[in-house]
Order: sequence, then C-alpha cells, then structure tokens
Amino acid sequence: MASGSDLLVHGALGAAIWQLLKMAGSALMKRRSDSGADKRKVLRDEVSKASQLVHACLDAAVAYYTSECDAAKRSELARTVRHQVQLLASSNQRINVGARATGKTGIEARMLIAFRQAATLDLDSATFVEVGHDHARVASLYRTAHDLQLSLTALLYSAT
Amino acid sequence: MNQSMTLNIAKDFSREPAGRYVADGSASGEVFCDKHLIPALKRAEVVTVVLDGTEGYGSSFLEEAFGGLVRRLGLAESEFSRRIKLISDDDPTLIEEILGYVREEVHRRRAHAG
Repeated sequence: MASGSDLLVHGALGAAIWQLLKMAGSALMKRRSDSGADKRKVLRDEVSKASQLVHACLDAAVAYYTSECDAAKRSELARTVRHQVQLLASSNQRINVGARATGKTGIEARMLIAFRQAATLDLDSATFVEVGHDHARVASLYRTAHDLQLSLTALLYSAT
Repeated sequence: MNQSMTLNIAKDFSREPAGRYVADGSASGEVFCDKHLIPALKRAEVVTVVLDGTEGYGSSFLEEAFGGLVRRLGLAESEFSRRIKLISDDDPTLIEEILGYVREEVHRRRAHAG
C-alpha cells in the first residue's frame, strides 16, 4: 500500500507530465496553425498574381482586337497575349496545388479555357479585321475575364 | 508502320506556334497538321504529341492543328484518343481544350451528315 508521501510524489510527477504534454500539444497546434496560415498566405499571393495577369492579358487582347496599329505592333501584342495566357495557366496550376493544400476549391479549368479562347481564338490572323468595342469578341473577352476574376476573388477571400 | 513516335512541338516544329492557317505563318496550326501531324500518323500507329516547352499557344493554333486533323482525316473521337497521346505537364488545361475541339468537330460532322 502506498504511503502518503508516495502519493504526493506520484501526484507531483503526474502533474508535471500533464503540464509537459499540454505544452507539447500547444506547441504542435501552434506550429500546425502557423503552417496553415503560411499556406494560405502563399495561396493569396498566387491568386493576386493571377488576377494581375488576367488584367494584363485582357488589356493586351483588347488592344490587339481594337487598336489601329501596324503589323509589327500587332504581332508583338499577339506574342504578349500568348505569353500572358501561358503565365496565367502556370499560375493557375500553382493556385490549384495551394487550394488543395488548404482544403479550398481551386479554379475550374473551363474558366481558364474560356478566357484563353476569347483572347486567342482569332489571334495571329493574316486576314485580321479590326473590330469595334461592341463586337462579340471584345464582349466575350470582358465577360470571361470577369468570370475568372470573380472566381479568383472568391478564392482570395476564402483563403483570408 | 512503326508502333509509335513522338512529336515535340517546341523541338520539332516551333517554340512559337502561332496562327491558324498557312497564310498566318509557317508556325500555324494548319502547317503543323499538314506537315507534321498527318505524316506522323502515316508512319506510326500511335503519335505522342508533347506540348511543353513553347512560348505559349493560341486557341487558333490548337483548333486548326487538332480540330483540323479530325476534319481532314475524318477521325472518330475514339480513334483520335487511341492514336494521339497528348502530353502537357506545363499546362494540362491545353489537353482539355484540344479534346473539346475534337468533340466539337465530330459533333459538327455528325450534325452535317444527319
């Protein structure tokens, strides 16, 4: 049978172990929380970059389809649009990896495809015909860019 | 006929594929289809097309290269999937877009025939 002093020692030991476990658990939880916050920060940064790319690509594509410029300038604009769309696709891949890592829903492929089609389906045409701002091509560009930006914004806020 | 062969667009065709028709330039979708893809399909049963490594694609190029292939050879969707393997690690959405053009072309042909 344990004596009173044994019980006191065991009690003190138990309390010390309990405190240690609590401290370890709290440190672990904090590290997990920090890691989650870091991942969300990376995701937010990538979403912001993608949003800027959509803007840049939209500007270049609208300029391509509506501006009066020579063939060399048009060719340069077309190259810019293709490159921006490619950067956007890479960014979208990183966004979806980040979204998965933080339990969020990424950007649907169909949104990126719709924007790429609006921006580039008539790109690099030798028989280029300049279109006005009311033309379906430009309207489609703005609509698909808007849809993509809405998805990016929703993801940005869900990761805040 | 060989069993398989690989076409790497950036290495075998152009790092800057652009435009739809021959008139749009030597790196257009039509040129790629007529001068590279169709000859490759005559030489090999299965052709793997690597899309990575270019400066980006316009949908005009993709539609004419792959939708155009279905138009020219009258391929069914299953035949396309069996004979053309697409690789795009840089941007997997390109594959989804291309398969969309293939389906559209098959449906257009069916609607036209019906």
